[in-house]
Amino acid sequence: MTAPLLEVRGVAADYGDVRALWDVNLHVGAGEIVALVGPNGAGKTTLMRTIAGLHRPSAGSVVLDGTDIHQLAAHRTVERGLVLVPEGRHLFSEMSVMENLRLGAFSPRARRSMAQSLDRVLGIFPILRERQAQIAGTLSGGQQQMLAIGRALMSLPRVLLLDEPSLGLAPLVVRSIFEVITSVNRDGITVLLVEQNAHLALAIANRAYILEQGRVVGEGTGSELLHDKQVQRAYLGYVEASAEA
Amino acid sequence: MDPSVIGQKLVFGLFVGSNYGVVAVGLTLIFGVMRVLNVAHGELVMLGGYASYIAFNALGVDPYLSVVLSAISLFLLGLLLNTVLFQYVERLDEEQRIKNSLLISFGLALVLQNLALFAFSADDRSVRAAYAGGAFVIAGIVFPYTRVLTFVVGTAVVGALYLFLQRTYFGMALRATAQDWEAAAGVGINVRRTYLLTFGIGSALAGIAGSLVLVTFSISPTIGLAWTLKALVVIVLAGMGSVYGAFLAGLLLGVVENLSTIWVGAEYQQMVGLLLFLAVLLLRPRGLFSR
Amino acid sequence: MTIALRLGLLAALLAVLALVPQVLTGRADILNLLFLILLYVTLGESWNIVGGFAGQVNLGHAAFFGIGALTARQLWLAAHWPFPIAFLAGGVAATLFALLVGVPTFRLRGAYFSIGTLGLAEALRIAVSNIFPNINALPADITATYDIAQHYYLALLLAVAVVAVAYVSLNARIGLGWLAVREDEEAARATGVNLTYHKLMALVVSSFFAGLCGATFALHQASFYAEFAFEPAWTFDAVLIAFIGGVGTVVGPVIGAVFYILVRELLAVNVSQFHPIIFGVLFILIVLLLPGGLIDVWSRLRRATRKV
Repeated sequence: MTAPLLEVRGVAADYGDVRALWDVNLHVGAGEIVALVGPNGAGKTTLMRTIAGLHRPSAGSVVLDGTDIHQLAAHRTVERGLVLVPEGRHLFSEMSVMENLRLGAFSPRARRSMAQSLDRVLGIFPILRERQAQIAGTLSGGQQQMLAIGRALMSLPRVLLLDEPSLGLAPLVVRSIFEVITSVNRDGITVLLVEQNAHLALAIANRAYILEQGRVVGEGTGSELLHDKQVQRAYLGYVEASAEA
Repeated sequence: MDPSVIGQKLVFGLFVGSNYGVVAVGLTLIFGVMRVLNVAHGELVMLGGYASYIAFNALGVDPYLSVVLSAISLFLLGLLLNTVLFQYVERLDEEQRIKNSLLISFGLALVLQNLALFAFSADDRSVRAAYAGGAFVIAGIVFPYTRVLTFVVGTAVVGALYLFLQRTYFGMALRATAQDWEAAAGVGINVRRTYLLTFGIGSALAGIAGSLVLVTFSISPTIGLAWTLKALVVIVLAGMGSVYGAFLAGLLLGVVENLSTIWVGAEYQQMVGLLLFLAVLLLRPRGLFSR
Repeated sequence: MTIALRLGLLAALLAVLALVPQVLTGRADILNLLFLILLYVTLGESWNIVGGFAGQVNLGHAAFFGIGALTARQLWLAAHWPFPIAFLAGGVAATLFALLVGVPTFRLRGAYFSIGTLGLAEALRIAVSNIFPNINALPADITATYDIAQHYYLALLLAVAVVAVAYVSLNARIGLGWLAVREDEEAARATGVNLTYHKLMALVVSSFFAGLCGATFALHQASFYAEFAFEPAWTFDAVLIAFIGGVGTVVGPVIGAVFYILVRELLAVNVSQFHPIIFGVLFILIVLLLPGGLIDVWSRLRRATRKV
């Protein structure tokens, strides 16, 4: 089996004296969609931020394509192809859609292909082409999420980290966002996805992990976990009838 | 009251206001991008003036051209100060960062002022360009060449800053870092380097203002606090972090101060600004020009 | 070190200080030096109450000092009030000013409060320099009976008083409230601490002693011009002293003041700019590296040597 593209090895993370993550181990293979589910406060966002380099781990390491990156400053992980779409989107809300997209290609590797990337992203999200001069803060929630993903795509990611992309969005919009995620993955981008909407996440994921109180408590393929009774009870809000074929 | 007297005061208010504006723009740029409050900014203005003074006296450089030299040397000084001092507050959260940078720059102001006193003595210095002696008159209002040149240079500098921030890719990155530094890091912007450069640019602006002060008024090692306070008044009026608003607010302050001498004695002129400052702080802390 | 031993040492120190003028009757220079030290102890400790205990960096401290100085001087010399009443009136005037400006300025948070108080003090200074531009000198009959020992005792009493008040209040319930306000205003409010009350009380105590300090200064000066007592240098000196000694501690400003004046007077012989440069650098180092000040250095050394 080829080495995974992204590996989290024994990562622990603290906020001051409070430990948020304990000995987290997970891996993401190239081309996979891996989901991370769990209750609020489990540490999912902390984990994403630690992987992306926004938070320094107190122990363990993050390895991207064989290279240890956990010491790198956040902007350097982007250069290596690890891009985070943060929870709450964090757009440059006073700047236009176009400016946000163009800034997405700031790193040298991405900047070389800015024109092509722009074309591609505007093709994926035609609504952004329509509204390219509009100030980001005035877009609707769904449009903002599309812009956030579009901006991340401008950075030419190899691994795309998505933290709660469905947060605050209407179901129809969430559907189209997830369609984009699967489509982008088909084009070769590896995805690590944190989602409140466990059902959708598990449905599109190849594999998934369950994070509770800062620890990994479960692991399996997407469909395994989707049909697991305990997972269903805890995160999916229903339990399937026991008659399985 | 003779309208040309009012007109004269207005015009002179704009002239001195452009100085206030340039100083304030430097301070608010640094604050807006990195949330560092540098109360030694006035000392940087003072040093910019001395840089020009030295360039003029030792190298015979034209006073207005010496603005360039002053900008460069203060830019470099800004890089140094950020590297040696202010970068250590960058790891703190915003509230701590503001408080600590205020304290540290207070110590820095003390050091810079006394270094200047030691090096240059307490005498006032000023420089006048040979060609700038006269004035032209329009509608009974006198426009001295020095003042006009200063106004033009100041406005041009802020205009150049505008072009840099709004029309260049790096300027855009700087604005992005000001809005959300984590998102900026998330698109690959080197936030540390952006802070360093911003501090350099802000200091260069202080230096330019200092040169202009040298050429229109005079400088001495102790003018720092007055200029820092002036800059603080302006950026509170404008809304802290509002760059172009700071220039406008500077003009506004200059005009208000000058016009106030119609009713209030010249000795109380400085107080007018301070009272306006306190009023804005208490009634509309977000400033006059912010959204 | 037991409590008894500590109290004993303190008493001994106070006794020594009280006896100094009796022993050193001829040495006006040493008495003057000690006077300055005691004056600056009060200056620093009074600032420390609002800046260190309650965590509100007040950059308008000179206003209280100046008001105390101006009020005391005017009442004593121009209105011919008795010395002690004029002195106390200085403190009261400063406190009244604090009550007047305290409520509006405390609506400002953090840096806004600091620059607001700075602006306010400067505005006051400009006003005073225009209203009271003249230098006034002590009249002949008073200079004839000028006795530095009296001033020394006044400064000593004041310094002891402010340190005692600082100690007592810090250990009382109000001190707890101050610390809560300093550490985290939101959390303090959530636990029922009345922010405005605590900040205002700190300001009241601070201003009262700063006013008395100014009054002491004014009564000591042979020639006096009002604006000088409102100069921002008084604020900056207070801040320097408090931080260098150990901001937020009771003893910090005492140590800071001793250190500050001794170094200043020793260096004054040479270049007068060295002193502010040294203290500026020291201040920066302390803010960045050693927020506990000299007191912290001392206790760290003790802990380090004890490990052996």
